[in-house]
Amino acid sequence: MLLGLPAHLVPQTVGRALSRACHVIASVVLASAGLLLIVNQVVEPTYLLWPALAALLPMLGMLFVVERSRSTTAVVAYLAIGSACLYWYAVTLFAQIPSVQASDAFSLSLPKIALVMVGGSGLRSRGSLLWATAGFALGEVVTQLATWQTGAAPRVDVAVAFAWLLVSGTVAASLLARGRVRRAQPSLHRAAFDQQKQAIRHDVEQQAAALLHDTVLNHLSSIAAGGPGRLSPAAAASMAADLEVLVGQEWLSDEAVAAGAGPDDGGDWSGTELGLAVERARQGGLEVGVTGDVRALVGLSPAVCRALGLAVGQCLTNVAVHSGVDRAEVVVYGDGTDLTVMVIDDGVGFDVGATGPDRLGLKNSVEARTARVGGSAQVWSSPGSGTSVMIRVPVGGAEAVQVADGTPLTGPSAGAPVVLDLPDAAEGPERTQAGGATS
Amino acid sequence: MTRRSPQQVDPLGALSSRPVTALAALAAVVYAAVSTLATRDEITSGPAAVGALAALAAAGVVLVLASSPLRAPFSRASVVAVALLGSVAVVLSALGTAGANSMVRDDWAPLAVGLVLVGLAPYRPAVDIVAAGAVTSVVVAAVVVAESASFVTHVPVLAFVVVAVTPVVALSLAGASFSAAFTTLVERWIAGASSARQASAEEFRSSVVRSVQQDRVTILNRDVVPFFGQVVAAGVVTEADVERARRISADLRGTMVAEADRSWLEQMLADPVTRVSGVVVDPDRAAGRMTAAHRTSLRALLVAFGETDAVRADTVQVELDTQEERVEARISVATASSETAVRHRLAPYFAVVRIVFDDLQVDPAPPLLTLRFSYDQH
Repeated sequence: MLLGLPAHLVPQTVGRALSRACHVIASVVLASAGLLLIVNQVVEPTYLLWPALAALLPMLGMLFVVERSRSTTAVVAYLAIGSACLYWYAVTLFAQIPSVQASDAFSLSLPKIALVMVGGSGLRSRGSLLWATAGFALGEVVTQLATWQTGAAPRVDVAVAFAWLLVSGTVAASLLARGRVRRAQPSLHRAAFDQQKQAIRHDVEQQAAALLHDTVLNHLSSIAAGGPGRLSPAAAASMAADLEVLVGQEWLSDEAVAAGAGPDDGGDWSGTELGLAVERARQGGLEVGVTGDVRALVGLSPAVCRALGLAVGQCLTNVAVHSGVDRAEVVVYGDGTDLTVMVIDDGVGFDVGATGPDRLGLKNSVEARTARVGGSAQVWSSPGSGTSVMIRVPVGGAEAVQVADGTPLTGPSAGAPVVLDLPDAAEGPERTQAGGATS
Repeated sequence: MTRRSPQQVDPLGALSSRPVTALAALAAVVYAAVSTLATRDEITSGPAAVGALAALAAAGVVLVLASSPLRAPFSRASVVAVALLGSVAVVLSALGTAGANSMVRDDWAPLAVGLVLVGLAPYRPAVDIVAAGAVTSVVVAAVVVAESASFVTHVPVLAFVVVAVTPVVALSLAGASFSAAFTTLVERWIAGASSARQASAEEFRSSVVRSVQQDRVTILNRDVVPFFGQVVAAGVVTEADVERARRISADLRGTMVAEADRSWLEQMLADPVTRVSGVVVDPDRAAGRMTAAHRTSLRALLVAFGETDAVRADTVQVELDTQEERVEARISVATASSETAVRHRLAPYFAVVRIVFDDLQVDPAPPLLTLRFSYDQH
């Protein structure tokens, strides 16, 4: 998340905003001048004021051009056309309205202020000062000319001088105000960038941990849990194959974008990552019953499908290694927006609140992985009453989960969990979302 | 019209425009005082005239104080206070010359109040400034209608209203358009820069992927590969193998859990590059619930600890305490110089953290610099 502008962009950004503000002032004073003309005309129909009103229109038009193009040509054109219009306007007012008989009349100050306000248009601050001064000088020269020609009283116009002071003061102050505090700006940008890099590294390390867990640590657990004895040929082959992949290939590609095997349109799910996970668990000796709406897997994007398969595979490995039973149920159901998969066993269970730090299996391989594709995972278990893991993923492609900027890894569908009537719920199991579990 | 303020999108910019704000407030008061003196013949109530100047000065003081980096972000309550005090000044100045005011155009109130309103521009969203301008304009218009009997020029009342209201409308709209234009420009720049950074982040990601994989392969080659090789070749698991499998497994888990569990704050304080280190007490893992802006501002502050000699950057202590909806945070670090020096060196960072977190309290009294703030659990 970036905070603030880098120092080199400040002058032009402040300049543009100031220029907009000046043009707004110019528009308001021109509109106000027009309104005064209309009021006078309505009250005194004998006055001939439309020429003055017509003189204001080109100024408004040129103001619009200056705001749009912000080029020197446009500013010069505004000053030239504006001065001519101002002359015409002043002559009309002196000739028509008896109460306007001095060069500092309020109605005359208004378009003069509009000329000064072009000062905000300079791209650089020094240019702004120059244009404001030019507008001020031209306005005064033209009105004095009209005053002299019509025999009105020449006076110093305090209001316009004040407007000139306002523009040049603001511009000068914005020149001087830079510096001291801006020195901190590069640190802010560096912090934003470092934060992003750290988040990326953390994310990659988590993925690596999940993959290592799925492979090496699972094998180590089976060896440790199985005790001395013959190594089954299937286990030996699986160990050799995993090692070959881990040491020899680019295995740490981005899971969230890697195209895995998606389900084909015929609804045959056995070729999907989930199907392969179930198949591997069965080869390892676990009896896996799959029920429910497996055709709902068809709607999943390849990345989600792969993440779901890997997560379910980890749950089945947990059952095989820790539960003490050799049977697990996989239940699939979808509601069109989410797909939910439950992995249920009737084994020894564990206290979800009291598991130690070794909870990588569920944390990385199930929870973090599911979160990365915009889903969520939840675990129910208590000692003696089995374990249920519920994994929910979005159907129709993973929402873009923003990890790079350090925002949490939870996707939009990781909201409140669906409350289920679980077989072991009656025995008061503890419940956790993103809490601990066996590994 | 954008709802965010220039102060929110560019905290340091707002900080550096404070002298301009002070100047606007000062100019308004000086102008009002000089005008009052110049038209003193028209004053019919001395106390009201003085009261008007006092109300305007109070509005200026509110503006200057509320824009202080120590009180950031500039609150809406302060905008209301400025608009109210400005309106009071308008009313009192009219009462001060009641019955004797001959001309609208030499009344100081509309222009002076407009100047104070334009001073809000760097701190508040455009809508607030427009609203403040609208309220003040209505007050000015009402006052002029009430006064119109005493004016010497014979023009319709509506003309007086236009003359009086023009400065307020022009200046408040100018302030609002500055606020809106600046905020939009900064937001547009941030959006552009973020998408450019996203592209470079992808590149960075692939280099991280390579280095992390290299790291893991090194670890695997050291312990796991020889072990698996031996077990697979033998086809038999011995008692010693079981023991070795447990040990390797515990080793790997230890390092991997440590990595996966460390929050961004812990990682940052552990990173030697940042030159800042210390303890994080965060039992509920609340660091992960900060937003990206929270993290950026806090990271900049902590890095600044490491780059100044005003504090001892190796003594940082961060405590995150989860309450019901909020996380209460407390950061302390030992000071190595005077309170003034600490404040001075770190002021821009405090200002940014204050704007991002909203409720920062800083206590720089030696021997500890302590910061307290809170944020939503989301």
